Amino acid sequence: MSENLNAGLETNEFTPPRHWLGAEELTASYWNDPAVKEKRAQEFHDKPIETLELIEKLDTKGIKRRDFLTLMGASMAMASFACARRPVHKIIPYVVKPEEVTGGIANYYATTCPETGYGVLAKVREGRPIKLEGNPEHGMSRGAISARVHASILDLYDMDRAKEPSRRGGKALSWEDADGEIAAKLKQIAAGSGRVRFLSNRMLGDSTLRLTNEFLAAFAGGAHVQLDDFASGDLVEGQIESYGNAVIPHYHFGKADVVLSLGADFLGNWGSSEEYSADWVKGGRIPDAKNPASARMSKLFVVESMMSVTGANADVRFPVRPDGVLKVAAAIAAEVARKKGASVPAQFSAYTLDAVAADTGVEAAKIKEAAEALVAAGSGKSIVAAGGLSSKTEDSIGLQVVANYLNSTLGNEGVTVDGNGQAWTKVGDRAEKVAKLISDMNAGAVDALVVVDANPVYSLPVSLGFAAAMSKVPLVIAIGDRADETGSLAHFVLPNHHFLENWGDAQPRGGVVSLQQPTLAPIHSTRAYQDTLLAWAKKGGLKVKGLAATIAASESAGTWHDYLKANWKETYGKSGNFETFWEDSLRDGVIKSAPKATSARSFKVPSLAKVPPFKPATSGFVLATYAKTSMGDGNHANNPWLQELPDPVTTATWDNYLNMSPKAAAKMNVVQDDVVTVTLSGTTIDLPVNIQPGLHENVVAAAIGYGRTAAGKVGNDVGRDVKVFVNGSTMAFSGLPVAVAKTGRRYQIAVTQWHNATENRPVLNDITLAEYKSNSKASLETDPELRLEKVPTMWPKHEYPGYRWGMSIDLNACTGCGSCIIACQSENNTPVVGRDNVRRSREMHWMRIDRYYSGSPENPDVVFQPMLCQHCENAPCETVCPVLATVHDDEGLNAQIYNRCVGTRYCQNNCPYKVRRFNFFDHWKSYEGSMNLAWNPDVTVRTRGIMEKCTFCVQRIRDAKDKAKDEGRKLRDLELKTACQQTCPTDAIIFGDINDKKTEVSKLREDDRAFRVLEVLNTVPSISYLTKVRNKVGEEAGEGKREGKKEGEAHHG
Amino acid sequence: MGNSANKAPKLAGVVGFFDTPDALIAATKQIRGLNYESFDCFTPYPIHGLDKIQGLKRSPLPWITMTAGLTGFMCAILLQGWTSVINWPLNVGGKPMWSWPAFVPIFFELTVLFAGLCTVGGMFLLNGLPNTKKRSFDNNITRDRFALMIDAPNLKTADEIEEMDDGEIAKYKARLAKYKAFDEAEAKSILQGAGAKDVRSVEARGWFE
Amino acid sequence: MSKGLSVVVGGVALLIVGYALATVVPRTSNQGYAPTQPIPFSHKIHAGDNKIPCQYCHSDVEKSRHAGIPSTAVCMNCHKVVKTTSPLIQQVRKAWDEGRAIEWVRIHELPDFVYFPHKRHLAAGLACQTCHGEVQTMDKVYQFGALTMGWCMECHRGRSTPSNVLAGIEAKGSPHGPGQAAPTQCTTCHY
Repeated sequence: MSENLNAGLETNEFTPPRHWLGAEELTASYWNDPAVKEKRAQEFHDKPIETLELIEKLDTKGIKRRDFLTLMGASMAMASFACARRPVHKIIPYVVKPEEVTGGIANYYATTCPETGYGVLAKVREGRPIKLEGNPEHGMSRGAISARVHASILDLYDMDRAKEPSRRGGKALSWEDADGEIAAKLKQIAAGSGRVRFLSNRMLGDSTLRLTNEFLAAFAGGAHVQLDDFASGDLVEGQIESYGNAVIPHYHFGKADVVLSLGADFLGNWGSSEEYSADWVKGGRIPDAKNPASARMSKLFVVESMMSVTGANADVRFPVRPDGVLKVAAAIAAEVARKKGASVPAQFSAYTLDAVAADTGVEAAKIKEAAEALVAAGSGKSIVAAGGLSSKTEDSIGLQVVANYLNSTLGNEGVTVDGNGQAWTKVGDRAEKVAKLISDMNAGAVDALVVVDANPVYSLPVSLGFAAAMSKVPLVIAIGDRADETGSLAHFVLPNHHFLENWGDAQPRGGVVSLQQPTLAPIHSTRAYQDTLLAWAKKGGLKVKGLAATIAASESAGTWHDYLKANWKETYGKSGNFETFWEDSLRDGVIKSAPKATSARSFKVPSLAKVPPFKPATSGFVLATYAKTSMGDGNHANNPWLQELPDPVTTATWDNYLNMSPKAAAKMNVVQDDVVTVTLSGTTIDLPVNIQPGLHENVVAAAIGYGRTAAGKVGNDVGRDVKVFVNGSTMAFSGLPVAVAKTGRRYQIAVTQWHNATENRPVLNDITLAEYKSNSKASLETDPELRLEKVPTMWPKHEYPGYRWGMSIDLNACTGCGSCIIACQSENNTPVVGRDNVRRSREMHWMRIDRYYSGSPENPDVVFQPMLCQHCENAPCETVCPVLATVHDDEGLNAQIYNRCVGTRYCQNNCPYKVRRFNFFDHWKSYEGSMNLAWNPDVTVRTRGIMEKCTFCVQRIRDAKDKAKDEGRKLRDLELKTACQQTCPTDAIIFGDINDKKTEVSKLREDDRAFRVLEVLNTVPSISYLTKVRNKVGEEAGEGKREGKKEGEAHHG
Repeated sequence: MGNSANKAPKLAGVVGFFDTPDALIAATKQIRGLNYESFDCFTPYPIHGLDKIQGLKRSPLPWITMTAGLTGFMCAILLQGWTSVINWPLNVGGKPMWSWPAFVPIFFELTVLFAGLCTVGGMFLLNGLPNTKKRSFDNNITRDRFALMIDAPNLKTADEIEEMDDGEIAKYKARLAKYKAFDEAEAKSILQGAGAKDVRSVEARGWFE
Repeated sequence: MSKGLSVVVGGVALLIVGYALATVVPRTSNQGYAPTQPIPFSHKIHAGDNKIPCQYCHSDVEKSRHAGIPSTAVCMNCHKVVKTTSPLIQQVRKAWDEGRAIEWVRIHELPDFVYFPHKRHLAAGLACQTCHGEVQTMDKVYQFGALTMGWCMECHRGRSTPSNVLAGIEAKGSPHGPGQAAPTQCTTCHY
């Protein structure tokens, strides 16, 4: 008897947590390690800081404490003399006030980001843009934009922009002088062989393209080479091979029941991600709450070598080597062919299920399951998307062909895969063209090279030898925003307008036509690229063709703006009143353009020849490169918001690193932050290691876009350039066999996920679709001891008459893209703190996306959970503030009153969600010069010693209520949107009045999936989360009901 | 205040010093029995039972303490109640406006503060402090000497008596009649008889004289 | 000297010294601040004698948080023809011709952490003079109100609200607490 009683008590069995941040959390030794206990308990790193960061700079060098205090003491003494008299402040009106400008009221101007083609609304206050939003009218944005586009407003105000034309070496010169010299040279060249080359990234604007072409027509040997964006991989090549047209197809993710992604990070960084995210989530990821028993969800299979945002959202994921992607794809293709009763192409015959399973490590049954799902979905109800850097091996065209074969065989071509109606026609040139340019330059067959808004010296792999080739060109002109790696080698750097300062248009794909207009007068002495062409044409008397000739010749209407209008008149405004049409188009930012009807293209069977024969995988490490959602190709490396945006999957900021699987790291005896060398054919770089669950054992992955040398103060020397390994002839970015060796050094990567470790309290839950269908409340019935039962209260609750603000976040819809983080940072003047401070857990983002793994470290499931101030009704933070700087207002907001806060930080300590951020330093001082124009004047800029946190965009609430009061009515539902809600492409965040039972947010709070985080603490948060439902079957790794545990077991350490 | 240069020092009383507390106690009993108007004992440390023997009444200080304490408590209630409930109600963490658990520390603190300060102040007042009128007749009282002093009554001078009316004279006479008449020499001898080793007269002197 | 007298004398001396100090040490409000402007614009002449309404120049006050200072163009609306020979007007003319804005010295200024909407207060029926004083009598504008939080709260709590405004609020049925004229939540002004 006694044995039974004591049985459970004696054995303190360790049960690993169901959701974990890193593989070590799954071991008992981690939780028992006293060093770990100390680190996890010490959230705020109260050890003395030996080197303080200089407040003005973002670099990591600091000054010693004593000197700092001396300096501060001196400046304090001087400041105290000044306090005897009130400082004189000026108030300066306009000379002539523009009639549309009212101080304090924002105007919204529709424009377009020319890099991505997304329509944005620029919020302009007193003549300068302070925030970008998505243009709801735009066919691609539909009101949402990515983190990178959001952050581009800071690039406008970047102090490292080129402010005036300069020669090589940095010497400034005037526009007249530059034009004079260059035009004269071009005139000479035009008279001669006229071998002028223009090199740019892919241009999305018809008008700009037309002008460029007409300009080049003046040169007998003129040509325009457009660099493709690497992130799409060899997508276009594959299209040309299989279908004969050079397009990027438009994918209708909303219509697909099954999606197979072969390395294509369509939710993060591949193609038109915001559009795809919105379609994919809204089309099939939200199970029907009204009829849970018949709820339907689409299914996502992802085959990839580096965990991406798409892989994190996958229902079923296959972590493979880079070459494994094609192998799995081919095996699936063979299965699909078999199932559909078609003959299996010869090229696929070697890719049998067993062979591929043995080679890649993926179970044969799973590959079969994927094939079966694709077929079972029905004709035209699936999508196979392939591409991306992490699968761009030397056989990447073959991979595309396999994907195309699958799409055609499954009937997707012409239905969900649109290759001719709404497809992207604006694609870069083929790799051969770039190679030809380089060889021409090397041969001295290029008289002049004009680089437009591109940075080939950095963005092209070093092995292509672009810099050396460029040095042979007698006239190199770089038109861009700064003297970057390419510009510093050019003869002239002519600064281009930022897109917010320029006119333009964009027709990225069929059915989308948008305009770009300036939102402010140019800040520096920059000039539009297009105006530069017209100026050269004029000054050099170049014989440009067509419209360019007309405009260049005109005295009164000879600018780029005139050209654009004239082109539009010819193209779109032939009938009716053009001026009205033009004004309307500028106001909307887009025009409705009916896309061509789509039809299925026929698959060219000979393209299958590109599928390589089965090559067994080599042993040893292979390197996969990838592009981060924050950095992309590194073009915006000088943008501090993007540098500090935590990567959705690794949650690391600043720097790139070598991702390694836990198994491989254990084998090599390497731990997080160890520095290793990566070597390939004599080239070596060193990188710190980041342990990344979900990688194949032999894969190491590193991001491109780092290691820049001429980006600016913020972006220089951040991370390492891993494109040094890319083979110039094959242009393989992944699958590179590398040797990895330890150095013994360590380098702390600024990872944010561990900063808010939850003490193993469950903060979220995920269930399968089957569980949801059988019991829609399934997620609420796990962990019953952590659900709040009826709690006796000592006093009645406060009444909230009038509005009461609440929010609902759907974890099924959140893909982890991070747009909301940058939107919040832009809206609320949240500062950037720099790498060192992030290491000390002092990052300032009001909103963060927590990323939790579950299952096995080899192939985990991932859940993203946006975490922000929960605006608790029984806020633990309010109770402990000694000066009542944080109180509850009568609309349910937890208010933070900055001027009252004395910096006790007790509230930060007491917040169980750890969402309060403290200004340890005067971070606002890091915004130098023109960057100060980026502040939102509606939100206080916080100084040192003040606590801040999400305010539910109280300034927007105030403005919206004001407007409603003017009109004498109540606010309508969804009229008021918080910054995060407005930019979320998938509408994961819904905000509104919860007193009104008819609002969207009220309905979502009643959803069966709704839960509140840490509700057992009785904080009564105003934000409810909807449990993630995954379309996964069976008791796979990561599945299974959580056993009801005694509370003592649940908390380890 | 008189001008000390013109007048002769007034007699304050007669004091006798004893060696032991017991001797003092015995003497006190005896002197008490004689019904002088006023006399007092001086000891370096409190002697158990001397108060009672001397016939001293209980001090009213505890009443002062209690009154002050209650006043403090009421002030705490009024202060917190007025600020948190009436003047500037704030919803802090969902707690009610009158959140008495949070108020308890101030209740306690103001009670104790008022009580403590008023006790000290009250004690000083009851002790007749600050006092510049009377000067100690012997510095060793607080060291090692036990003394008993019989005070000379405050007699009115002849001039003063003439100015008084009959009612006042009657009261004055009644007062004098209640107690034993004071005679310096007699008092001295009584003290000696009671066991005092050192007996002398004490002049009324203030601090600055 | 008797002791009591010396105490009284000492106390009075202390009071005098304290008062003297208090006048020198700056107060928390800028009430009375009357700086010299680059051009001595007189509200008495314009708003008083000529009865130009406040909103003619400070036109943003109905639409926005800020009341705004009129642009030079507004001055020139009249002064292209009115009193063009006056040397002061000619200063304005000079700024206009040079395209240079006139840099007025700001008088009414709230700290950065306070958000005050003129529009809402106008909509509530307040006259400009309630807070800014009788500006139409000022040759040189001075700060009439204390512009401290306590001063604002007096009106928000109904204590110093002009009766016409209070009547309007009570007629509509005040959504705020009993006796209150305006919201007194912290987030009304501090965000």
